[in-house]
Amino acid sequence: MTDEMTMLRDAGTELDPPGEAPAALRERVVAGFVPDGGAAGAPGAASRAAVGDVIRMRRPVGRRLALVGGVAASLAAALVIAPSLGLGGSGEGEEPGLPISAAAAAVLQEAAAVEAEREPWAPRPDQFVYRKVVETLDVTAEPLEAGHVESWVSVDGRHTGLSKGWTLPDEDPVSSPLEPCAEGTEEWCVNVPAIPADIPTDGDPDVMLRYLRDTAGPPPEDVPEPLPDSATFVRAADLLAIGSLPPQARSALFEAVALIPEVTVTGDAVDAAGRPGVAVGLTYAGGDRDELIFDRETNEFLGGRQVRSPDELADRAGWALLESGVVDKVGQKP
Amino acid sequence: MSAVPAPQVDTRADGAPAGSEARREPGSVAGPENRTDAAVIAAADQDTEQFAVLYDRYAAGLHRYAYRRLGPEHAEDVVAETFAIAFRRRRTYDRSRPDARPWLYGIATKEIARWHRSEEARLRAWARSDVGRPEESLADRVAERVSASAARPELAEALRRLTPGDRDVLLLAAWGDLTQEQIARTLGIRPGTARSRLHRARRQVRAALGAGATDELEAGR
Repeated sequence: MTDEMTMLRDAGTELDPPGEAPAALRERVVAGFVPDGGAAGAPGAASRAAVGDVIRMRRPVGRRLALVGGVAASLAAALVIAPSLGLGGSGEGEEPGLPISAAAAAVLQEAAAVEAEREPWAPRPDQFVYRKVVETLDVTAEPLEAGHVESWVSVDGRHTGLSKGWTLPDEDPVSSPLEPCAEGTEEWCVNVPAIPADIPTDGDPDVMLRYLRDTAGPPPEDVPEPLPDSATFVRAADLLAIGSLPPQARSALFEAVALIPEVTVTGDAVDAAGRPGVAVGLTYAGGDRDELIFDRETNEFLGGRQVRSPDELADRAGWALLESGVVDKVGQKP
Repeated sequence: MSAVPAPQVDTRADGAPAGSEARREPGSVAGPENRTDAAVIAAADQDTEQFAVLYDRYAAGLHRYAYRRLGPEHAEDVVAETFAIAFRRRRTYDRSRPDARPWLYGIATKEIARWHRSEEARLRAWARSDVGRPEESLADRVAERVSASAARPELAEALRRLTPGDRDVLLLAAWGDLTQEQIARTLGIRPGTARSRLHRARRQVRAALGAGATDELEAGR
């Protein structure tokens, strides 16, 4: 077989434009090269801005969330596609995919109980969801490359929010405004409502499960044999990644996930912030897993990860929700 | 790009033709055609229209790259936006780097990322464009599999299944004609990361092409 790079280069010619870039484009571009009194930013600012843009534009779960769309697409970070490098399990010698549905249900129900005890509230459309998350960008890098994002996303998607991203702790974060989506750009625009207006808040797990199934995207494509509720689970993870759902909704979400028959405790896990926890998830043929991670002691939701087997670096992958809350103004913290 | 230990030498190990205009003999007279990209950008401090030299050097390559990835609807916008952003950020350009291609492709990569749904659709369409082909014998198809167009559906599908970061690295190498070190600078990642991503992406594409051929053989059995 021909070398895949040669094949890719050859095949690429099929996608070539019919001719050169039009002269009108040159005119349009060059017309913009006029003095401006100085570009903003110190040396190096551009490259840092670039990093911030990457974080903001990065679709959580890459392609999968992109397909799920909706709220998920607006979030700066969620599950990460872990690269497949070598063989390995979930660490600690624990067998991945141990079919302990009852244990999974127990973890989820504990998490639901934590939420149910909170004072109910509902977001106002003009508020913002504040989140601080960390997401592994490259598990193979030494030291680990992680994207840190702080964001204020408009609850109804109609107000300009803000995303601040950086990859190194000593780096200045780069801010990017999150402009409301223009008409007709919802398909790809990232600033969709932070909280879906139609999310059930009656606390009924069955209603929530139906909602998850109705709003789930197509089944994940990067696992060989997705389970019937794979997309449902991913949808739940997307919603949990928001962090600040009304507690009634979050509580029902956890219980709804517990109703998915294939959900099991998949073992010990470490979230992207290095916090140890217990993972609850779906295990697919071949050992791939989608996981939600909960604090082992408090059962609080920490984050999630995708483990695409074989993957010995699983414990470096994923995303972690560090802080979240609903605030009135961009820049405020809960 | 503080995270990246930046190699100072612009090696052009692959002898990539595009962009080689920027390669100049050290110490050569800085005439309009001989200047490095860095010199052009420096000249734009005084005379902003000088920035058009960069356009003339790289717009065609960037346009082709964006067109391949996104198709006609967005390629021109990506080029226009890339140069507009580059111009705005020209004073932050690291002028110790003679070759501006990694910088420009880095900006373009982020612009392309905004249109990921278009890319998705384009790859699907590309995969399908094979559907209308007249039926051929299995033997023909298997024999033909060595050619790029016969493997197009598998190739398109394999590209679609790559993670965005892996796809960027692979396509910058295959279609952008950038070296691994240039790709690392383009994406703001370590050279080792670029290498491992490229390796992984190539392996996945190779596997997909192999699997496709096998499927076909089995289907025809």
